[in-house]
Amino acid sequence: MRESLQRTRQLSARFKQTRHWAALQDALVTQGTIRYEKGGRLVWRMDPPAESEVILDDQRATIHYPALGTTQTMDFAADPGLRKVFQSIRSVLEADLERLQPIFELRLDRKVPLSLTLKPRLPEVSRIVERIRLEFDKELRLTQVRLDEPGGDWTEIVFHGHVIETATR
Amino acid sequence: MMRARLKLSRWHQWITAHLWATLALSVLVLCAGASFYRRGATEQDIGALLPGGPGSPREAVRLLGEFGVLNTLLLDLEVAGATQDQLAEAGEKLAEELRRSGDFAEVQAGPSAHDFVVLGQVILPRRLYLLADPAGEIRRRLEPARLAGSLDALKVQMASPQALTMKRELLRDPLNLNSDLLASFARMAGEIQPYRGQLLSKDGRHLLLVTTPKRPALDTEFSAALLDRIRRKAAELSPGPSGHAVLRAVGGPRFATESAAGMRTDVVITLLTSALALMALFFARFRGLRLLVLASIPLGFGMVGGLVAVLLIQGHIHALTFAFGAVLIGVGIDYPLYLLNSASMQRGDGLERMGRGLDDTWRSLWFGFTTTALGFCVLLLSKFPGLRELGLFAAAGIATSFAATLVLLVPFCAKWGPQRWRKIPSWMPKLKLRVLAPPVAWGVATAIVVGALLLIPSLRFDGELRNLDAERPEVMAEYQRVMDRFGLSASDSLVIARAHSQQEALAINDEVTELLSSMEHRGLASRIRSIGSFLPAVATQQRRARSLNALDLEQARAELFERTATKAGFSPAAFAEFWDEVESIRQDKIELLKPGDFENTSLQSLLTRLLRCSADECIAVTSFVPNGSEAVRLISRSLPTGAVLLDSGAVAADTIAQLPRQLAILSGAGVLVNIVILAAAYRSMRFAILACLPCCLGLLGTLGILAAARVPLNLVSASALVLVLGCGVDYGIFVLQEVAGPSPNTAVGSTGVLLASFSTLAGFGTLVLASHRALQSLGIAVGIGVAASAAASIFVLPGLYQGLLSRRASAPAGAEK
Repeated sequence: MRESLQRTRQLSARFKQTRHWAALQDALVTQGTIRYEKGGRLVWRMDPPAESEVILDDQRATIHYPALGTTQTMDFAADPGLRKVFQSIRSVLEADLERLQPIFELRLDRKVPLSLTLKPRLPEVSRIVERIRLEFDKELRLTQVRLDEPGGDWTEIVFHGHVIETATR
Repeated sequence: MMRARLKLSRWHQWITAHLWATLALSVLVLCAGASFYRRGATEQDIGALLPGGPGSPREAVRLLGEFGVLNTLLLDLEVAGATQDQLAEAGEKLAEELRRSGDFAEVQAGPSAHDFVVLGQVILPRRLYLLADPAGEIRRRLEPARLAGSLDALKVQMASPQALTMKRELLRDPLNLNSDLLASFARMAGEIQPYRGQLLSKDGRHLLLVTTPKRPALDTEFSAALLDRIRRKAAELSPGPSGHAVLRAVGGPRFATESAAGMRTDVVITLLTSALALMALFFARFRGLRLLVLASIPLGFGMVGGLVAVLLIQGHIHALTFAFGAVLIGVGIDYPLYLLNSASMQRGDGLERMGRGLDDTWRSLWFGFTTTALGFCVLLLSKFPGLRELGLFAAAGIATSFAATLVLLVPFCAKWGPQRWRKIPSWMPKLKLRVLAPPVAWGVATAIVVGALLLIPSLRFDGELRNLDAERPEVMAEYQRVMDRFGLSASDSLVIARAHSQQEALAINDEVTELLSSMEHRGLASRIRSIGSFLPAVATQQRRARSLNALDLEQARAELFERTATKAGFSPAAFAEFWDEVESIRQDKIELLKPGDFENTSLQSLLTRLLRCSADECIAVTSFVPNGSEAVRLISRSLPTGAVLLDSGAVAADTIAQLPRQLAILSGAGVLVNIVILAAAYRSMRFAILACLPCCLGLLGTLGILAAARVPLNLVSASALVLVLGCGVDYGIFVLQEVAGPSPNTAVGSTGVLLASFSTLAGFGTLVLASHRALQSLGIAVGIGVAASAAASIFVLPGLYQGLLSRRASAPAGAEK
C-alpha cells in the first residue's frame, strides 16, 4: 500500500457521492471528478446541477460555486482546527495512510481486498466524523469511502475509472 | 500734527548722531521678532480659516478631510507576473516591515480567515437585528420562487466536502441571509477582494495597504521623508517572475508634500522675479540699488510686526496668512517710495533733503497710512477667522512698516543714501500729457461703473477649497487610477448624526441610513458606508425585534416555508434552529449588539472612525456619494432632526460662498470709513469721495475684467481685493495732493504713484508665474486691480478733479493746504 502510494504521482477518478442526512428526505446524490498530484493540490469537482469545485492544499481550501458566482477561501493558518479537518478529508480522499495515522486510529478490517476503519484521535475531528471506512480494490486503489457522523448522518463516496500516473523506477 | 513732525525731527537728529547704535538695535528687534516665528505654531489646514464650533464650516472641512484622503496614504503594490499567493506574501512582508518602521499609526491589510470567523461569531447570531424590516425581509424571502432558489443553492453547498464541517451553519440559513449580509459589508469596502489576509484588486494583480502615517499629512517635512523612505523600500522589493515590483503611494501625504514642494518653488521664483523687478524699478528711477536696500528696512519691520501681533494675540498663524500677508505688506514699500521720490526733488544735504521730502509728503503719507490701516482693521469684524487674522497681520504690519519709514528711513538715507540724487526721469512726467480731459474722464469713470455693474452679476465664485491646492494633474490622475482599481470612492458627502449619548447618535444615524437606502433605490445616492449596517442603536434593534411580532411565525413556517422545503427534499425538522432563532429574537432572548462586541474584530477601525464621542457629545458618521447637487439638496431637506449633511460642494456653495458677500460688506465699510476720515481731513465730502474714486474704479474694473474673461474669484483672490482698495486709496490721495496743490505740474505725486504701483505689481503681479493656483489667482486679481487703480489715479483723477473745479470755483481749503 505504502509502495503503491509512493509510486503514484498523479491520480484522477470519477466519483459518486451519496449523502444520507437527516435534514434531507432522500439521499443527496452527486457525481464528479477527483484529481490530485503528489505533494500538490487536490481538486474535487462536482458535475452540474450541484456544480462546485474545491481546491485543497496545505494552506487553504478554495471553494468555487459557478452557479452562485461565488468563491470562498478558507485560510488554515488562522484556524488550526479547520486545518486538521480538511487535512483529514484530503488524506482520506488520497488514501494517504502516513498522514492519516497521527489523526486516526487505523483498524484493519480485511486484508484482501483491503478494508480499513479509521477512528479520530483528535476531538476537533471526532466532533465532525465518528468513523471512516475505506475500501480498496485488489490493485489497492481506493474504491469506496464511508463517513459516519456523530448524529447518525453518513456519506458514501464510490470511486471508479481511476487513471493513475506512476513514477517509473 | 506739526508738533509730531517737530518731535520726529529731533529724533532724526538723535538717530543721526547714534546711527550704529540705532542700526544694532534695529537688527536686534528684527531678530527677536523673527524668532517668534520659530516658537509660534504654524497652522496649515485651510479649514482653520473658516468659522469653527459644532456644525461649523471648519468642522465640515475637517470631517470631509478625515473621511477623504487627507491623512490616509494608500500603497498599491504590483509584482509583475506574480500569482495571487506570491502577491499576498509580498504584501504581508511589506506590511510587517512598515508596521515595524514606526512611521505609521496604522497599516491595514485585509481581514484574515480568522477575522471573518470572529466577525461571524459576533454578527451572525444577531443578524436579524441588522435588517431594517426583519419581518418583511423574511416574508419576501419566503416567496415560493425565491425560497426554492435559496434551498437549491443550499443543497449545492451541502453536497460539497466542506459541508461536513459547516452543516449546522448551512441549515441555520435557509433564506440565504448570511451571504447577502456579508456581501453588503464587502460592498462598503469597494471592489476589493480579501485574499489570505490581504486586499487584492478585482484582477488579482494589485495589492492595497491602507496606511495612516504617524504624523498628519500637513506635516510636510515628515510626509516628504516618509515618502522618500517608501520609495527606497520600493526599490528593495524582490522582483516578480516577469519584472520589477512597483509600489505606488497616493493620498493626502503625497498631495501635501507635492503642494509644499510646489509652494517652495513658487516662493523662490516669485521672490527672485520680484527682487529683479524691484531692482529694475529702483535702477530706472534712482540709478542705483542703495535706496532699495534702505527702503527694504521698513518692509522687514512690517513683516516682523505683523507676525508678532498675530502670534501674541492668537498664539498661532496660518501659513497662508503669513505667505499672503508677507506679500501684502509689500505695500509697505510704497511709503519709502513716495518719500524717496519726493526727497530726490529737494535741495540740501542728506538730512535736510530727506526732511524736506518728509515735509512735502507728510500729510499724504499719514492719510494714506490711516486709510489703508483702517481698511485692514475693518477685516477684524469678519466672522471668518481667516479674514480676521489677515486683517490683524496686515494692519499691524503696515503700522510697523509706516513707523519704521518715518523714524528710521530719514536718518538712514541721510547717512547711507546716494551722494547725488537723480531727478525724476523725463519720461515719467510726460505721462501727465496723457491725462484725460474732464468730460472724457467723467465719461470713462461712468463707463467703468456701468460696465462693471453689467458684468459683475456673471462673475463666478469658485468656493471649492481643493481648487486652491497645488496638486499636480498627474499625481491626481495616479490617485484616481488607484481608487478605480480597487473600486474605492473618496467620501465627498457625510451625514453627521449628533447627540448627547452614543446610543442617541446611533439612533439618529439609523434613521439616516434608512433614508439613504431609500434614496439609493431611487438612484439618488450610492456607496453608503454606515455604522448602522453592522451596529444599529439598541432602541432600533429592540424595535426590529418587536416588528417580528407582526409575522405569524406558525403560519409562515407551516404554509409558506415547509411546503417549499419539503418539495425541495428537506425534512420538516431540518431548519428548526433557524425558526428557533427567529422566535428567540422576538422574545428578546438574544443579546443585542453593542459597540464593545466589535473590539478586536476587523470592523473595529471602521467603528472608531464612524462613531466618536467627546465630553460633550457623540457623533455617528455615514458617508455616501450623492448623485448630483439636486440629490444633495433633497437628502439634506429630508434628514431627521440632529443630522446634518456635509457635502464638499454644499460647503462651498453655502458657506464659503458667503465670503464674497462678507468682503463686499467689509470693503464697502472700509471705503465709507476712508471717506469719513478724508472728509474730516479735507473738510470736504466731495474731495474725500474723489480721493476714493480711483480705488473704487480699480476694484470695479477688476471685477468687470474677471467676469468678462470668465475667471472665477476664489477664497484667496476675493480676500486679496481688499488690497486693491488699500493701494488705490493711497494712489488717489497722492495724485489729489499733486493736482490740488500749489504746484500741480511737479509730477512728484503721480510719479510716486507710478513707482508705488510698479513696486506692488513687482510683488504681486509676479505671482501669476506661480504654479500654486491660490497664488496665481492672487497675482491675477491684485495685478489687474493695482494697475487699474494706478491708471485711474494718474489718468482719470486729474480730469475728474478739473471737472469738479469747473463746477465749484474754489477748491477745498483742506486739500490745498
